[in-house]
Amino acid sequence: MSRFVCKGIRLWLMCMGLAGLLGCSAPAQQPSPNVLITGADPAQLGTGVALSEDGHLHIVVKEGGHLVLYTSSDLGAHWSPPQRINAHPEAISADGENRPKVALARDGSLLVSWTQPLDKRFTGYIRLARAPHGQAFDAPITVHRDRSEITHRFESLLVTEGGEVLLVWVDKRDMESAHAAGLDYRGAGIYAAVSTDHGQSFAPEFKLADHSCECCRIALAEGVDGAPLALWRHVFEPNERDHALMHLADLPHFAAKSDQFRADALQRATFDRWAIDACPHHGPGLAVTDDGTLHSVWFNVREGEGRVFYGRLGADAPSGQRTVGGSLAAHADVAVRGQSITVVWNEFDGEQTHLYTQSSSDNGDTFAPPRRLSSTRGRVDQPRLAQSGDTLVVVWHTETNGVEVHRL
Amino acid sequence: MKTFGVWVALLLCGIAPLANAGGVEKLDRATASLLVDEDRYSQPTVVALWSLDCSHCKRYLKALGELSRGNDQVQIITVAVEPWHEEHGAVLDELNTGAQRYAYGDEVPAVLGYALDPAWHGELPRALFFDGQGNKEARSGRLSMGAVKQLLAVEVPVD
Repeated sequence: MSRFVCKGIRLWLMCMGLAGLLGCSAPAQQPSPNVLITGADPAQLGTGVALSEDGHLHIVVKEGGHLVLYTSSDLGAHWSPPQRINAHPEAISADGENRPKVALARDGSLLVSWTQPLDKRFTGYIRLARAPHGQAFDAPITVHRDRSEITHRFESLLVTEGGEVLLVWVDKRDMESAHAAGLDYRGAGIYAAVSTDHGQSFAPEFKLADHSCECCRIALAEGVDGAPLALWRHVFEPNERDHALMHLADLPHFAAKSDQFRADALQRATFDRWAIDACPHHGPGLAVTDDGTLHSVWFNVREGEGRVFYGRLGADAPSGQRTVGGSLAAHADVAVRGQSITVVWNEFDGEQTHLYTQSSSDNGDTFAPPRRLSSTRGRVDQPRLAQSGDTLVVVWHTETNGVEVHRL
Repeated sequence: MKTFGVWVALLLCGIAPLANAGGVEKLDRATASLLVDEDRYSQPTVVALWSLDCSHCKRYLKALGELSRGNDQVQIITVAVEPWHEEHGAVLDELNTGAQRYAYGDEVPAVLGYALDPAWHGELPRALFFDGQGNKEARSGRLSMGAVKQLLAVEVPVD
């Protein structure tokens, strides 16, 4: 055995012993995650994730003034070389609540959306780039017609079963108008734009609702009727930051005649009654089982205690509402397979951030004990679930470990 | 060690050194722990957490600054919970608030946040209120100045 190997083994044993003493060893009985080290700034780890029907995992991260696509055909064991999405550098948001998004259009194109911050604080444009049939990305477009230097931020992206491409975002044009007229305006607005040509162009945007929260991600999911569902943190009168749910039926029609859009009545989906004038920076997650049940995870302060919750959303208060993780659980995501529900979240313990998962096999009535998937002492992105058929992965982008992919 | 002692003495006197341009110091974990130690305050003090992207925070900081100027007892300490940026000092100057000013230094934000307030979930504004008699309360959101005075046990008329 060479001197270097002996030295290596000694170092390894020392490291394992030290790691054990510090309580920072890898969790027992977990497979080694497959790791990709990106060129992302540790302060901007926000990552977009999508899993295509052919099993390709696509992730998008920000590297300098560019968004970069990495693709893996084996769930993260090997990765393609990075592919630039925007040829010309620009400002890009890539933090936890305002990360880039990636989705597969029905014609096989790859779509990437992001918020481009403008010079003035709180302002931005919603951008979208498209790579037809896996080729190079076209030049990005700004999705909305309104080009005021105001908030168009926190976009979410969904491709429907029918092929429409939906973007929904937080928009402050109505707040700005109200303030210019000397009027009060609660929160911000929610706007949407639809493409019926796989993201090549978008019809004029239209308003879904007034009075959303200003700084939380929007959850989009497809309902069993094929119509998208949007869930966001709302500001209910006078200042209760609960969640609103909207059913977005007949998108193709409104893509052509957006001025006729009449959303179904906005439905209050949570009733935690967190009355506060604040920016929670903590948006919800949403997934729909085949029976039409809406499974959600969200953060709220309820009866004075801030917690992540799981619950089934309905016409009234959520059913089966329960806390997820411990008191510092944060930024949960949810996915479904059949009647199986999977939740993931981050949880900081004062020294390290851990990635946890927990599953239910009975439609959310009961959950198995939480399972720790990974830990880090560095900065972290929120965990992102990606699914295709029965294949479900959680992608976790951290400063110390890179992009981890855990199959669930 | 001597420097540390001097620093603590200055902190206790409410005049911590402000080395960076704009008067905003980079916060580390040890300083964060000192800032939220209720036994170190002998006067009513607010440690206000904020960020450049939080519109509620700016209105709150402005009101807290006015409260402090109207009452010599009340001390406002600001902590920008994001990496130090030259804009922090400019914004605080414009809002005319913050006798002591900090922004996150190079350590992991979660570590600094936990050191400031282990019950905090990242919502802004967040403030810790010290009545100067060994009591501490943490509250999220933009409180009325009446509520702030109550938490600080300041003997002035409630607005």
